[in-house]
Amino acid sequence: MLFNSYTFIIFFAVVSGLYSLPIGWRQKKLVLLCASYVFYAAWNPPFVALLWISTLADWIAARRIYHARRETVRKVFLLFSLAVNLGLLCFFKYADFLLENFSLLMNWMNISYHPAKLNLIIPLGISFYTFQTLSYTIDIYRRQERPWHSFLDYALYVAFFPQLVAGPIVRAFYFLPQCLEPPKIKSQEIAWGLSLFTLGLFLKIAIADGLLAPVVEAVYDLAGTPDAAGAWFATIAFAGQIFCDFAGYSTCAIGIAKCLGFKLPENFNFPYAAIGFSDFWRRWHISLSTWLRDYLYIPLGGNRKGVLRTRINIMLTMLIGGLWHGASWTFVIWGGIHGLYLFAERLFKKIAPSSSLWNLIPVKIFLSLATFMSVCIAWVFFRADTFEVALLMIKAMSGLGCNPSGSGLTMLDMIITGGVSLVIITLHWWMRSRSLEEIAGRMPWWLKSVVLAGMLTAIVILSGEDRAFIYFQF
Amino acid sequence: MPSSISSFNDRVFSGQWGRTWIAALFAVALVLGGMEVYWRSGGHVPGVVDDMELWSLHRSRVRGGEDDAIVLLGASRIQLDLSMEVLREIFPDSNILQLAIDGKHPLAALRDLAENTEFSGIVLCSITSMGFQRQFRDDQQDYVAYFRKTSTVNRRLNRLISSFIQEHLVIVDPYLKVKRLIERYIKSGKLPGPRYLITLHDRSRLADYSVINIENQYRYRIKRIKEIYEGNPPVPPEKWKAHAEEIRPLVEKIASRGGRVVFIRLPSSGEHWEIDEQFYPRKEYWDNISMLTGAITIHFKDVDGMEKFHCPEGSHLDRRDAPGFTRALAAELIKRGIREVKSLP
Repeated sequence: MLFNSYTFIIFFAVVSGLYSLPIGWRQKKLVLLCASYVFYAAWNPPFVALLWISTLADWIAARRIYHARRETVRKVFLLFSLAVNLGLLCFFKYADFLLENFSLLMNWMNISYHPAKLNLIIPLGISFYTFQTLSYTIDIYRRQERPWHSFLDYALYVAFFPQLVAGPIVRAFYFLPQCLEPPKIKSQEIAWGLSLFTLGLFLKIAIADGLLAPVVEAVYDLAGTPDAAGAWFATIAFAGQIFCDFAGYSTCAIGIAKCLGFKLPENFNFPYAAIGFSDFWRRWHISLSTWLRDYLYIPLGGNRKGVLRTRINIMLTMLIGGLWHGASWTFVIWGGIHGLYLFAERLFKKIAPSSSLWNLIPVKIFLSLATFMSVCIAWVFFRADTFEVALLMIKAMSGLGCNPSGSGLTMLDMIITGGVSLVIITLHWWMRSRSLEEIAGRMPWWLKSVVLAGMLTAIVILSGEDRAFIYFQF
Repeated sequence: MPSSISSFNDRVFSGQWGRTWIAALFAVALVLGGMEVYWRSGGHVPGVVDDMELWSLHRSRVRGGEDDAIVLLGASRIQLDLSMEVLREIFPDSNILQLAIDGKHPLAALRDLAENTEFSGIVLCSITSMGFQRQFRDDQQDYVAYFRKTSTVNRRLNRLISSFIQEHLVIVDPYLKVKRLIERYIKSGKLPGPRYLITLHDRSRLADYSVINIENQYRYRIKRIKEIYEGNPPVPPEKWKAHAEEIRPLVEKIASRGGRVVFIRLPSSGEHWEIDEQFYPRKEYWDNISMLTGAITIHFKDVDGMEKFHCPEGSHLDRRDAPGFTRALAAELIKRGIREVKSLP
């Protein structure tokens, strides 16, 4: 079920109605759990079974790990959890990719091997909920946490519908304590939650789908080579589109959870105001980057094993992070480019003399814009459907091999892209050390009304073609 | 997030939110209401967006065991030329579904009905001789595949609500979205006038040619049909007959369940008809269809009452003519015993 659909509004109204009935806390949690399964089943009913498998496997594994006396048993159950979760993920998401690459390798070695494609449907949100359940088991394996006492709470944690299909990736021990006591939900919190939901829909429907997606598609989805301006405008438009799409989803999720009395972690912190790439990753898809840091980069040794190992660990983390997004080499290259950016940044920090110059606002703005443009270049590989298209775009952006006859974009497309991108970057810069709550808290009521009315009107009059959230495919 | 947030949290949650939301919703209603009145006063009327999901919604209503059901297949002609309202009036007890798809030859949808359903009613399939060529066999397959693989009950329910809103509000029409309005204004220096073509929730379409420059539209149609025929030249009649014969199993499959397939040639007029005849002479192509496929055929030129209708832009009827044309077709169906009716209204 999409947040930007009428059925979701009806679904949410029904769930909210049931949730606000004068029933016990346990019954309320049951309402949320059943609603979450309905939410997931609305996409493809049989796949709810996968959610149950992942839930049960980690519930059992975590308890066995905690109660095991022998280290071997602990390891066996950790491996069991990894095998179930990563096995499901690999089977549904990467089977065809692995098969294709294996057959390429075979044929390269002159062994004729042409297996049929499996063409499996990728279960919605599988990358998100498998990472969630894994974090629970790993935290217990590391003896950082104890198994949760309530299966209902745990099942709700895995399936909680606001964040089920596209995050934020919530850690178990961030969410589970919230299940202990019924939240005291004030009407102001519901109003704030609905305001966040409106903001999320505005970002998704009006900006990402209504204004930017057509510009991106006009260049990326058409055969032929664009000119340099077209390639740049389309790529910058995509930078705005993916932010508004994904941050829009996360903001909706946070708002909906808030209405139900739950707090979800922030997933974006105005990333296009980042100065440098490590700053970017502290602001972009925070729940994934911190997950990869805690469950991959640090276990690999982090930066504790010398310069070379640090570099290898960074690169591995970024490559796997890239692959997590999709079964394609373009995503791996996207991760690799970010790995290289992080190396370059470390090197720059080492050789650049320490100076008060770096604190000057114009220098910070320059560095921030340089970060943004570099991130845009990496986005080319993220957006392009094939490696060939990505190279074509990079060539066009660099002025090599571009089409002199035009870009396929109208002047209006370019004005929209330029205008929207300028507003996004300026707002990110202005908000870089602030929060939405802070801004909303300072606004007089009537100004909040104007902003809300503006966003709601824009949703109606700017909306374009219905599109699923980009991150649903991951 | 900065630690200072907690104090702001208190402030954001203690604001006058009731007043804020009420004022916001009132302002939205005022602005959107004003826009709705403005567009309607300019002659705009609401219309539904015809997409794969809407097709899937109607396709999901095809059921087995309904011998009196009528499914309309084809492309834009059957959407514009037949009035669903009149069909429902003449055949009040029938489940009548419009499954035509604009711009695509219909045999993939016919194959879907034959092979994937237990449909046992009447298929009225608007088609031209060109549509029997093998190369166009899968034209509508993307819709069929969408219905079978992507469409879900949730999506169809969403589409139902969406259609309801689109049927009642002009402001949600994609034709009137801000970006399109600006593009249009830059191009012509004025805001768009009312559409000449609207789609209803039952997927029929109404064309009002009085609001456009009909001569330009006619020229466009003639140019377009020439391009289509020249880009896809007809196969020789003998080869074409082999292609058409391949449809027989589909017709027989529906017939074996008690259903009937009727291939209908809907009108084209003037130069358009002359070009149709030049590329696909009726005697060599259309007149063989019944023998080759085992289906019933109806050609507009053969039926009194159907041949008199004129397509203003060469290929489709005006909304004012669609009811009369539909009655003439229904009368022919009844006359030939294809469909029974208690009494003609």
